[in-house]
Amino acid sequence: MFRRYFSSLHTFIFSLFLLSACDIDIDHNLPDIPPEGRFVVVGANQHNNIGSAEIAIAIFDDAIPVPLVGGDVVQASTSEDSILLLKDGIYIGSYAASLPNPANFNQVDFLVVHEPLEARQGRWYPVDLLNIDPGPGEFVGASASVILPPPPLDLQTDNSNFMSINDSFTLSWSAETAGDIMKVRSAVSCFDDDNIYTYGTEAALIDNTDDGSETIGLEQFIYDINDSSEPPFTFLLGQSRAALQELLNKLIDEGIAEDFFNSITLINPIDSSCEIRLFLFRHRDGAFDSVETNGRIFGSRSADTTLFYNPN
Amino acid sequence: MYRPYKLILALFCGAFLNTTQADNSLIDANIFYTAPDAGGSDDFHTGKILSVNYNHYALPWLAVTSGFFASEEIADNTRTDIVGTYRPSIKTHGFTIGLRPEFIFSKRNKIYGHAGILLYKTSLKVEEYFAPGLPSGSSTEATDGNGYFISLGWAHSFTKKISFQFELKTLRQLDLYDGKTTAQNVFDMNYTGFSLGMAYAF
Repeated sequence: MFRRYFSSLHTFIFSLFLLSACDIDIDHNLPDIPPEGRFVVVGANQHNNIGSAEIAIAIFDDAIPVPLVGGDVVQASTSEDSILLLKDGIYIGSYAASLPNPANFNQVDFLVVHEPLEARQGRWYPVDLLNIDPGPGEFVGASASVILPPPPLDLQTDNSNFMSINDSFTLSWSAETAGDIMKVRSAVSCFDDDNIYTYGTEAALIDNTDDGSETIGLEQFIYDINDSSEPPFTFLLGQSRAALQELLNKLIDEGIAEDFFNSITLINPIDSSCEIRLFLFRHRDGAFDSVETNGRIFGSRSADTTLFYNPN
Repeated sequence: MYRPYKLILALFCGAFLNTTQADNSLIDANIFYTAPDAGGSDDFHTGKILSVNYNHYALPWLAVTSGFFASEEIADNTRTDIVGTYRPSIKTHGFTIGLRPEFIFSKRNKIYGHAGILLYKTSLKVEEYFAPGLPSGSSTEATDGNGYFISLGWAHSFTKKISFQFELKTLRQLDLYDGKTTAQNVFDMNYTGFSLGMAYAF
């Protein structure tokens, strides 16, 4: 019964842990959920030089989110730290947490546990005295694990300043041979005299293999709003945009605005000076411990670099 | 745990029995409108606490008081978290002893203060619902202890014996569930609000 899905997993993980971080409207559910049967989605990502991994999980029955209630909660752990996923993710019925991982352990284990007191820790009254415990639910004991692949180290571009969307550059990183999948996303800020316009893109890569090099055109990040044809990239909307916002928030100490994607002032990027924050993700599938579990599970690590576009 | 406080109250009242005379006593009954505050994420609705006090004037401007208070069940907001949907509520009663200094500023009007200590017994109740198919339930736990209160009031006499009074009041119950739960779960409960009442002098 267990099947692996890979498409759109990386967008899921970065979106699930966003809920409390920014004010982005998410009005649809997690994509690619089968309309029938139980389906579990689990993900973990750790950004380079950040000492924690972002964890998220969601369970669906017939495409309807199934909440964990009564003190059942997902525990994510490395060999040194563990955390309960007590925060809601951005999708109904999803849960998220930031798992401390300063030692950069590669394996993250998931286990559904029954912790009626820990799960109520946000309440104001003495939950140990006033504890209504319905007992463990059906998910308790379910487990899974993911391996966080190595981070895409030595992320570089052969040029970082561009004047035309016809320009291209070569993105390079330390290649690995594990067969992981690479994805490129960006958070773009364009400026005119008075305004700032921010948006996100997911680049269409020539190949997404972990070969250490990819040539990418600027048209994957900068576009002309007056051009009626579809841009070659995919706009980061909904879950993906929210996901990248969360990652930006993690990098706030480097000067990224907390409400990056809330700016909706529209100026034409092709005519404006733009800063392109480029993120490279390395993804790897994980595994549920029960072959009965149907779903998708992944671990990833990411890194970022910054490019500049100035047409003038 | 409650008995020592009752003993103190009895001794306190008894100390004044031999000095009680006509026209130097006052009984007042008040409705105290308050939203309890546990100091956390609670957000209680406004509820009512009934209080009845006996005031004995030891001096023309100073009364020694003792009283009783009892609340209705006052509900916190209903909220939902990862565990379920729950609603705490609180109910309390207790005794007070204190002092009531007064300042008469016109024939029918006076302002007064009222402060003292209190003994309380308070019950927290939590009702919780999880999901269809799972049993919901409720749990109640009582605690007792002491605290204090302070108020500032205005009294207006309709007749020589009957008067109306209005108070701004705060009442604080200390260390709820101390000794029953972990130290970080112990909390104080504050009741701040106003009261309206009537008093009868005799």
